[in-house]
Amino acid sequence: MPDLVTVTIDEQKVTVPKGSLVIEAATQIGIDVPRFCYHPKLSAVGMCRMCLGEVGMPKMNPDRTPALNEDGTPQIAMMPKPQTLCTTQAAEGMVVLSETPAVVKMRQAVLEFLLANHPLDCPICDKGGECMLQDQTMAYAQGHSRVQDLYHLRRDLDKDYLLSEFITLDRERCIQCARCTRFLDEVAQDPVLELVARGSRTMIDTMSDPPVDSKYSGNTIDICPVGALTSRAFRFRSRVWEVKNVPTVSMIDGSGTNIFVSQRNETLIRVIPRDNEAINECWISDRDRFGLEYIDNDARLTYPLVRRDGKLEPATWDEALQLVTDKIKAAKEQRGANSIGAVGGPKLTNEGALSMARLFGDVVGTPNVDAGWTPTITTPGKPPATFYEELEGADVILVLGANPNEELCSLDLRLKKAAFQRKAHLINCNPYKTPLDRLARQSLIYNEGSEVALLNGLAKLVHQSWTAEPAQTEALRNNVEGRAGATAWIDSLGPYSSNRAAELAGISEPDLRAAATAIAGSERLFLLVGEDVSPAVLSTLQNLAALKGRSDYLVVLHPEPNAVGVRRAGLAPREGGLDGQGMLDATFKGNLKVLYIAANNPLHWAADYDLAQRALQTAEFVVVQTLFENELTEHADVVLPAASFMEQDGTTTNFHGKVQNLKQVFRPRERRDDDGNTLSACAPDWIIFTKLAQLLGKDFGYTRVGDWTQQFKALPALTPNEVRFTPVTYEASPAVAPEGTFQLLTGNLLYDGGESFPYCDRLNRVVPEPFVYINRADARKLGIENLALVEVKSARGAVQVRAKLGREVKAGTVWMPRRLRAVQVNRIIEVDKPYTAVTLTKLQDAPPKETLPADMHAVGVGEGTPVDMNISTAVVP
Amino acid sequence: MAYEDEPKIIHQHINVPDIKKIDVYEAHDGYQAWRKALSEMSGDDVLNEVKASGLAGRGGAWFPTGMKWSFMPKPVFPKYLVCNCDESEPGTFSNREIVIKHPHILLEGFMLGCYAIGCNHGYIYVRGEFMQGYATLRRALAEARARGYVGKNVLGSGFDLEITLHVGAGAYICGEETALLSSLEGDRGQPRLKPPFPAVEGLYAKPTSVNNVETLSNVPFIIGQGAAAFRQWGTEKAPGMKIVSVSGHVNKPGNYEVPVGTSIRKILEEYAGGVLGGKGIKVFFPGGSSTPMLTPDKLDTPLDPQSITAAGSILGTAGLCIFDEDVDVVKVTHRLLRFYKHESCGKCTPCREGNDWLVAILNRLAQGRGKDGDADLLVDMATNIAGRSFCLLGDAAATPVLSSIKNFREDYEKHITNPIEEKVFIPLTSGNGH
Repeated sequence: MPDLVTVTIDEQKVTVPKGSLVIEAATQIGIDVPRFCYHPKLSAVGMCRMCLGEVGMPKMNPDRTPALNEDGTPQIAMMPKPQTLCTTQAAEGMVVLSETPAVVKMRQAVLEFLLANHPLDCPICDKGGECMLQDQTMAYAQGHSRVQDLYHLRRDLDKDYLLSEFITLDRERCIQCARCTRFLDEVAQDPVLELVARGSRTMIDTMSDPPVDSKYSGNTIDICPVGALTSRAFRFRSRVWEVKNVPTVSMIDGSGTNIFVSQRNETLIRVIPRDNEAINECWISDRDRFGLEYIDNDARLTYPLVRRDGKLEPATWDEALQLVTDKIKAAKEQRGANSIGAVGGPKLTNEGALSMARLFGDVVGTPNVDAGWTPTITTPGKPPATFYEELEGADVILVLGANPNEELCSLDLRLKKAAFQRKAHLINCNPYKTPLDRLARQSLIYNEGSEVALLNGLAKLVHQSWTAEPAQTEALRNNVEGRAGATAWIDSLGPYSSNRAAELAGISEPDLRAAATAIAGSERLFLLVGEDVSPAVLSTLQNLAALKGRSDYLVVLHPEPNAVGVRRAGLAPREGGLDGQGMLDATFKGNLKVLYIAANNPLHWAADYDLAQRALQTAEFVVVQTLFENELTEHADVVLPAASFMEQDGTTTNFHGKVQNLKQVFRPRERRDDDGNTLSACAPDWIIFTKLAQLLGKDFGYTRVGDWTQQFKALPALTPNEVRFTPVTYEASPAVAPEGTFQLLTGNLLYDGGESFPYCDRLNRVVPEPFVYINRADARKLGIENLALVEVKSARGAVQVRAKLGREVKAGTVWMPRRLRAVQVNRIIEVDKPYTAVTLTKLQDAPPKETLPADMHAVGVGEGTPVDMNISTAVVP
Repeated sequence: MAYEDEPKIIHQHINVPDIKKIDVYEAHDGYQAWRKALSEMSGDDVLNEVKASGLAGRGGAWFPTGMKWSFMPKPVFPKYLVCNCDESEPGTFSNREIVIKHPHILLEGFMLGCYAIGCNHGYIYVRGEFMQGYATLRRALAEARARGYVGKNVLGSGFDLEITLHVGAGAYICGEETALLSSLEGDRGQPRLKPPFPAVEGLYAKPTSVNNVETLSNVPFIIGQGAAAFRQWGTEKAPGMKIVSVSGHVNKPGNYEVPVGTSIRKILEEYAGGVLGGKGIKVFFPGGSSTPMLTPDKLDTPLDPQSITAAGSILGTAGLCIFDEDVDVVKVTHRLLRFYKHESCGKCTPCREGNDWLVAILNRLAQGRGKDGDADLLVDMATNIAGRSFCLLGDAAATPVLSSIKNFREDYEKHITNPIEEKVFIPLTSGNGH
C-alpha cells in the first residue's frame, strides 16, 4: 500500500497516493482543471500554463509543529506565485484553490494569449466540435478580444504542411503544447517530430526520412488539443458531430485493439481509438487507423459468383449455395467425407469459425478442418487475465523469435513502456535485429534454428544458480522437485555448457551468462514467443518457465487477429484429419476433391506457393468465401461474398485470449439498382455456414449471432498449464550452406501490402517496394550498394528485389519480408529443407519504382444481371 | 582614494599585461590556492572555507555558494560542476572581462569548486556569441593542462580532474541553469521543471552545481587568504566585493569591483565620472535590464541585495544602467522588450505569446499611433505574464513594462500621438575596461 496524502481542493478533501499530481486528484473528485499540454499518459511539462492554481502548504512553527489558527485549524501559507497543477505533486495538508477570481483571470489570460495568434478557422477545422481550445474558450475565456486591432500582425504560416502520408500540419493552429513530440518520444519511442526555432516562431517539424516514420503517428492527431495535426484521410470530410462513432474491435492484428469506427451515411469516415486500459490504453496503430478503408471500396464483392463455362459469373445466393450443397453432397456420397477439406482463417469471428467448424466437422463430417496452411504453436496454458498489467509489472521479459513492432502494435507499445518507464530487463532473442533491440537491455542475435541450444544453455545456467545462490535455491527446488520429467530433463541439459550453447547459438558467452543471471534473479519473469517457432522450441521455453514457476507467463504471439479464437472454436484437424498443408498435398495428389476456403488465401499464406497453386488447379471444386476478387478467386468455382468484421456483430479473441465484442458498424455492403432497391449483399460468415448446414439437412436453429456466441462461450474454458518438464535436444542442422550462398531468413512486415492494402488509399502508399536486408560486409564483398536491384535465387526460383544494407542481419544471412505485395517469398523458400540457401546477384540498375503496379487494383465486376437477394443481413430466414 | 588604489579581489591583477598567460598569472600568486588546497586541505575543508566566507552567488540570485555545494548528495557519483559563462543580460558585462583578460582566475576557482564538491569532470558552458572568450579560455585551459593543474592525478595529489569547454548556440535563456543543462546535454535550450533541482538531478540526471563565473573567480582568494580576509569587505549578509558593470550615460562606463554595500552614488560619481554632460538622471537599473527601474531619489541606496530590495528593485547581477534626464522611457522599454521577445524560448504560453503582443503594442506607441488605454493594456498584459511563466524570463520581460509605466505613465500617454525620436542613442553595454 503506497503512502497516502490528503489534499484539499476547493474545500473538498481527497486522498491520493503520495506523488500523485494535483490535477489527477482534482479529476478524481470531479473538479475539471483546464489543460492543454497535460496528458495522463505523457510526462508532465507545465508548458501551457492553463492549469495554474493557487497552492498553499500548512505553516510550520519554528519547532516543526504545525502552526494552528485560534480555532485549531492549521494555518496555511499560500505560495507567492500560482503553480501549475499538472506538475505539482500532492502533499499532506496541501490546499489548492482552482476557482478563485485570480485563477479565473489567469485562465482568461492564457486563452487570450493562445487566441492572439490562432486563426479561428473553426468552421473549416476538422477538430471543431472536439477541440480543447474551443471548449475551454467557451468555458473560461472573456467574451471579447483585445487584439482585434492587431489582427493584421497575426502570423501567416503553413496551413497544409504535409508531415507524412497520413498527417498534415496546420501551423497557424498549433499551440506548441508538445503533446505530439512527447508521445513519439516517450510512448512510441520514435522521436520523429521535434520542436524547432524558438519564441513565438516555435513550431513542430520532422527530421526523419521517410517523414514521421512511426507506426503510431496517427495518435498525435487524437492527442493534438487543437486542429494542428489532422488526418489526411479525414481532412474536410465531415464534422465530428455528424458521424456516429460505433465501438468495435479492430481485426487488423492480434492485439484486439479497441476502436470507434465513425460512420456517416454507411460510409467509413475515420477510425479513432477507444480507451481500454486492459488492451490498447488510448493508442492505436496507423494500420488500424488507416487500414479499414477497404470497407467502402467499389471492388467489394456484393453477390456470389459461379463459374460457368470457365468464367465466373454473378449468381443469386440461392443458386450459389445450392451448387455448393450439391457438390459437397456428391463428393461425400461418391468418395466419403474425407474427400472434402475446409480451411478457415484468423480473420473469421469466433462465431464464423465456430459455425464453420460445426458445419464441416459435424454436418459434413470431414476431419479435414484447419485454420491455416502452416503448423503453428499455441499458448500452452491460460495467459494471465490481466495480461498487460502483469507484463508491465514484470522485471525480466524474454522475447524470442518475434518482432512486435511489425506484428502486434499494442504489445509493442507495452513492451516499450515496460522497458523504458518501468525499467524491465528486456532480453530480445531473434535471428536478426528488430526495433525492439533499441530498448532491450540485451539482444541475443542467434543463429536461425539454434533456439533449443540457446534456451537449454540458459536453462542450465539458471538451474546451476540453484547451488550458487542459496536465496533462490528454495524456490527453484520447489519448482522442480517431484515434477513430471524433472530428473530426465535436468540430465538432458548436461551437454549444454554455457560455452557450447553460446557457440551453437552464435552469441557471446558473457551475453548468455548475463541473460541467465537476469532470469535466475527475476521474480516476475515473462516469456513471449513468436508463433513461427517449432513445437520443440516451445517445449524448451515451457521447461524454462516451469523452472522459474512461471508456466502461465509463457505466451505465444499471434500476429493475426483471431488466431486464438478460430482454433478454440474448433478449426483444427479432427481425429485422422489433414491439416492445411496436408490438404494442399492431398488435393494435389487427387485425394481431396472439394476445398472450401474461408477468409484465407493459400497463395499468400501457404509455405509453398507452387504447391498451393497446383493444388488449386487440381481440385475438382473450390469454394472461396472472401471480400474481394483476387488471385485466389481465379481458381474458384464458387465465390461467396463475405462481410467484414465491421459489418457484423460477434466476438473476437485476441492473442492473449481476451474475448471482446464486435459491433456492427455498417450494413453488409450491397448492390442496388438505379432506384435504390437492394439487389444483393454480402453476408457474415456465420450466416453463410448456418444456411449451408440448413441446406445440407441440419438446422442448428440459430437465427441470431448471439446463439453462436453462446455456443462459443460454452466451449470448455482454457485450463492452466500443467507443469512438467520435457527433455528437448538440439539437433544441429547437418546442412552446411554451400559456399557463396546465404541463409534466407523471413519475417512479418506490418505494411506488407497484403490483401486489403490495395483498397486502402493512404496505407497503400507506405508499403515499401520489395526488398532484402543484406549485411553491409557481405554486400561490400559482392559489390552490391544500397537500393541496388538484386536477384535472390534459391534452388526453387528467383525474385528481384531492392537491396537494403545494414546491420539488421548477421553476415551470411539475408532477410526478406514473408509477404510483401508481388514478391512472395513462398515462391522461393525450400519447405523440405531446414533452411533455404540463396545466392545474390546484382542486376542492371533500374530506378526504384514508386507506385503500385496497376494490376494490383482488382477490377470491379461488370454490371451483370440483377439477382434476387435471398439471404438477409442479420437473421437467417 | 582613486579607484585604482582601492583593494580588490578579482580585479587585483586584471590589468597586468598578459595576465591571461599562465607564466604571468603564476608570477602574481596564480594557482597558489589550488596548490594549497591539494596539498593541505580536503575537499570538505575547501567547502567549509567557502561556507565561512559567506560568498553568495554573483549570477544574480545571491544564494550562498557554500550552502549550494553542501546540498550535493555525497554518495552519488559522478557529480558535476558547471560554470555558467552564458552572461547575456543587457547591462551586465562583468564575466566577460574576467574571461577575456583574466581566464586563469576563473579556471583556478573552477578547479577549487570541483575539488570542494568531489567532481572529477566539470563543464564550462560558454555563451554562443562569446567566441573571443571561448578562444581565451581554451588557450588558458591548454596551458593549465600542460602545467598539470588539470588531468589525471593533479599535481600528484591523487585527484583527477577533467574540464570540458562547451559553446552554446547563442540563447539568453541558456543562462537559466536548467536550460543551460539541457543545452549542454544537446537538447533544446529550454528550462526544465524544478523539482528535481540540479543539486539532485542535474546534468545527465546526476547531482550538479551550476555557478557563475564571478562567484568561482572569488574562490581562489578565499582559499588563498582565508574566509576572514574575504569578510573584511561587504555587509554581514553579503560579504566580499561585487563587480559593478556601469553603462549608459556616464563618463567612464566599465566594470568596477567595489565592496558590497557601496552606495550607488559613490560608484557613479567617484568611479564612473558622473553623468555625461553633467545632466541629471531620469532613471536607472540597479542590476541589469531585468530588474525594476529606480528613480534618482534612490541613488544613495547601498549596493547590497537587501538594501536594493528594500528600495523596490533587485540587485541581480549589479549591471548599473544609467539613463539621463532626456531619455525616452518608452523607447528604453521598447528596445528591451524586443530583446526579450527575441530571446523567449517559446516553451510556455505567457512568455511566448505575451512578449510578442507587448512588442506589437509598444511598436505602435513608438510610431505615435497608440490608442487610448494602451498603457493600461500593457500593464494588464505584463501582469498576466509576470509570475505565470515557466521560468523567470517572463518576469524579466514584464518588469521594465510595469516599472516604467508605474513611474512614467505620462511618457506613454504622450506616445499615443508622438512617435519616438530616433536620434536618442542608448548604449546598454560598454567596451572593455575604463
